[in-house]
Amino acid sequence: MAKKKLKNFSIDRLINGERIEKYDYIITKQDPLSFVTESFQKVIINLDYANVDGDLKVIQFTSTLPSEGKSTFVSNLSYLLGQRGKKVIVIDLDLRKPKMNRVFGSPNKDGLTDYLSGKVSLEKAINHSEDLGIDFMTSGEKTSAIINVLEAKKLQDLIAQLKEEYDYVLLDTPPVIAVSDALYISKLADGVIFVVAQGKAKKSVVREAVSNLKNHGINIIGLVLTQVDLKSGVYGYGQNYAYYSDDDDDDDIK
Amino acid sequence: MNEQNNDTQNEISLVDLYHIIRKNIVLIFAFTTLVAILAGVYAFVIADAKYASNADVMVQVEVDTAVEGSFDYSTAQKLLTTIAEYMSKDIVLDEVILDLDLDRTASNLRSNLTVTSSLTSYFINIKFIDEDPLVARQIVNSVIENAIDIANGNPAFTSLKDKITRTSFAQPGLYESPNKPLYLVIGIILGGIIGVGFVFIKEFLNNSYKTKEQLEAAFDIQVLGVIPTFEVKEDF
Repeated sequence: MAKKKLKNFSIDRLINGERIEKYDYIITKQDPLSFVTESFQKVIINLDYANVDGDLKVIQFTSTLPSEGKSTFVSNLSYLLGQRGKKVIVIDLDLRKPKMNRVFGSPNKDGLTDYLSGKVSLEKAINHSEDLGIDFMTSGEKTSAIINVLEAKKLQDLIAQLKEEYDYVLLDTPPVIAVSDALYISKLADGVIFVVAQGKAKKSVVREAVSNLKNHGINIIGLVLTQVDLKSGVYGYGQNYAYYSDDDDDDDIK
Repeated sequence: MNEQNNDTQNEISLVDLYHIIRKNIVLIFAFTTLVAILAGVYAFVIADAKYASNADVMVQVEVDTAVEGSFDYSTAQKLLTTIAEYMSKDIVLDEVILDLDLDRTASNLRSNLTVTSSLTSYFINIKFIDEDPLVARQIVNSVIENAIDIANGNPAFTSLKDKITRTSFAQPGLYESPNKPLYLVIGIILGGIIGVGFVFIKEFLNNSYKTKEQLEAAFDIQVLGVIPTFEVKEDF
């Protein structure tokens, strides 16, 4: 999806045993005038409509399968929200395959699990990206007691506290089908944005994932179709997309 | 189940079919070329050229003495068919093999031998197909020669005595098969069909969501956005 580059190589990271590969996930920053950025802007506008009362502050992002573009989507969205003057924090709740550290080009240490286990203070666990102007929290040290972490009262309290401080708390979570993590996390979130990559997961599997969320009474704010091939013909005239009406968006919210 | 109904309704349209074909045009061309090449290789390289040689005999039908110029139709018909069959019987073909010192069996000869009689004429056509045009001629001539000899000489065939007259001699065989252009055309058509079929099967087995509309119809949840893939930086 995104181009790979080796950057920010330093002795410090070598010592810490962290192999930092900086991915160019933040296309909205690199290419603010691109059609892709425009697409993200539209998501934010739609999100604003869905969130007129402003009660959707903790938003969870999940998908059916891995690598449907969740992390890319979250990071770009968080950057653009930050650009709009919102106070945003992104938390990497994918404790199995953390990715946010790579997105933000930072080592995966002193993160969420470290804070929850009391190893570091909250101030230390929250990082600030000068580059993107937003705060983020990496997943932290790997643990096998993932469900315990996700059900911890301390995590609930943390989210509640962050909810007070920030305009948006964005949670990057594992896909629904493989593990049940996303279902635990959704108890903490105000709503879920479900990412579907074009032509990736089978329809039946996507349906299963979504109905799984619905059955647990989870508020799905909306779907996002990612990794859309503009040349595939289906969206061959991508620019026309700007003229799609969003009139009925509010009616669709469940 | 309403969701699924919506799905299938949205599944296929002419435009979709067009896009599927356009998207996979390279694959379709590849299949077409591949099968056409296979057919071409078979027709031009693998398949042996076959040559056909043929000659005619005429059957003498006895004229009915009671009515002038007429004959017993059913007897004549039987005679024609009998002689046509007799031409490809072992008794004739074994003689042919002996005469020409061929290293073949009678049934092998028979499979390449075509004897055609018509109900509207007294002529019987004998055609033989072989890889060697000269051998084809030899065999046709020998079949006719031996058939006449046996019919006239063997007492078991008195009913055929003096009934067969040679009317032409076989010439060296003419090119018969394979029909190279036909093989090529069939190869191209077959390749195209296989290619298109393969592409459709591939596309329909990939039963995943491709458009915002499909998602909306399936879930009744709003689609917040459509994010293009950005492997390559776009030029703006």
